[in-house]
Amino acid sequence: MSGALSSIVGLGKSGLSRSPIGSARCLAAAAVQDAIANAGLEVEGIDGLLINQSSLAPAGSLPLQMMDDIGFSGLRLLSQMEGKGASVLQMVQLATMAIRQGMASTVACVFADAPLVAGQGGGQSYQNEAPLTGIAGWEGQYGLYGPAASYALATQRYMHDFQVTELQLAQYPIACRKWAALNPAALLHKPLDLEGYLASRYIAEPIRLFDCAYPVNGAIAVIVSSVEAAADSPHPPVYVHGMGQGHSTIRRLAGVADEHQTAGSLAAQGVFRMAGASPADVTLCELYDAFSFCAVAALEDYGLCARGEGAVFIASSATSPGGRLPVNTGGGHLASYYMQGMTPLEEAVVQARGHGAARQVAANDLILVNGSGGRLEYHAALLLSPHLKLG
Amino acid sequence: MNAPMSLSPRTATSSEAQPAAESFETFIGRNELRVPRLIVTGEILHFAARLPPAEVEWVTARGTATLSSFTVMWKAYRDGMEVPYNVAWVELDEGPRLVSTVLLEPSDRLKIGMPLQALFHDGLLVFIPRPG
Repeated sequence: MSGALSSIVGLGKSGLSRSPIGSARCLAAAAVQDAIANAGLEVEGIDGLLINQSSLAPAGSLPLQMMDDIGFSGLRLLSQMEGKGASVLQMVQLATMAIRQGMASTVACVFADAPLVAGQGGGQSYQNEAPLTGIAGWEGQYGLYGPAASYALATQRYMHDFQVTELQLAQYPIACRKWAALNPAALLHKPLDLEGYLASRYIAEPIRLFDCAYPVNGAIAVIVSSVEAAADSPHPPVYVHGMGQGHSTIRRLAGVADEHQTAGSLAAQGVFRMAGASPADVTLCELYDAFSFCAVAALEDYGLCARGEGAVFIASSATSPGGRLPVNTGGGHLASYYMQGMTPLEEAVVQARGHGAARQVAANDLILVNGSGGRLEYHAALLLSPHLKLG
Repeated sequence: MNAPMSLSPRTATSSEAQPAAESFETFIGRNELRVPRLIVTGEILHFAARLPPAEVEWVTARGTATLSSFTVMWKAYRDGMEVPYNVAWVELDEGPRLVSTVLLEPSDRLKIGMPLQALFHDGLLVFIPRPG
């Protein structure tokens, strides 16, 4: 197997809150500064900045000029990344490629969002029309609003085709709460049982409130450097071994291709090939779960379960604390907080460093992190490890 | 130096790709459900296609369809919306899929795979269950 491509040497965040605590731009700067300190570096040691705002936030929430807020001058790499829920991992991928080509040496990657305003529920920030057919304004006529609605269509179809029940799918949010109970930073600590799950209201059948990501105001950043430079890092380096992407847009949704075949499997091919690894080598997964169904689809897309078996696998407690393939060990987007791709990446870094305390997984050797966006249209993945060489 | 820029507006020509959706909506405005077909190959396209209009003909759809998936919305994302209501993901027998809604009698139940029939209701394309 091949050696590492780059290393994540810094992890930082702003405050995270359900109340307004500042603009996304302000929060982003705080997270980057925290990540730089975490990496044992100074602002002058950073020569690249990659920025990702929520695609549902107002355009320009995180402008390029925010580099000034942090005190950067003379960056050799600066860009905004937009790949929906895949963006965060795409930033790490671009940073890795730039570092390997000598364009930059040490790159900060940040996501920030401030969707929660005073006096308004979290769901009100996610009420965009779901553009499934490609006809502008069409979905709004029928009230297909919010990402939950379009994921509901996918979930319903999955349940029908593979005879999966609501009670089986319920085991995913329940497992997330078990992990969250072990994570002091998670926002939803209260245990969830089947009764509690079934008592939570429907948003868009079959998706209930507890199947949805938990919105938060905040920012998280990482610092990516070369494998060589990581040796000087104050924390154990987290090595990037594989990177992949896969994209397939409206054609699949328009009835042209197989209903359940997302481009996540394309990202899977790429990420495993680059790492010289296979799904059987993965010991831990940190998955992008905007909704419960996303985790099911990811387990299948990345070959950790056969198609149609993800929900049953989760319902067997395999992904829960003590299970044979831990998934979303910090509680994921559902039970910790919705930092749109930074939540799984952050947890992967924590686990790879061995900093997971009560929730630390012993077998952290090969960690699959994925991101997905649109309605499972845009995918990116990383394979991370505390080991410089795999196998 | 750059060449002088043309100041003429960027209007599309018939040889330039345009969203099929624009034509689709024009027909819908006349209470006609049509699907785009590539003239050369006869292939039925989906509504997100972008093609030169001269290469596409719009054929009348049969109006028969199948329910691909559905959701019942319980959250009112807009002021004044009454919930619950259903949103249907419908596959026309010609192939393309559409978002719509199914008008149901009290005894009807939505089921994936159920046959549907298109109709226009107050200018809106909707579907009703069709006896299988």
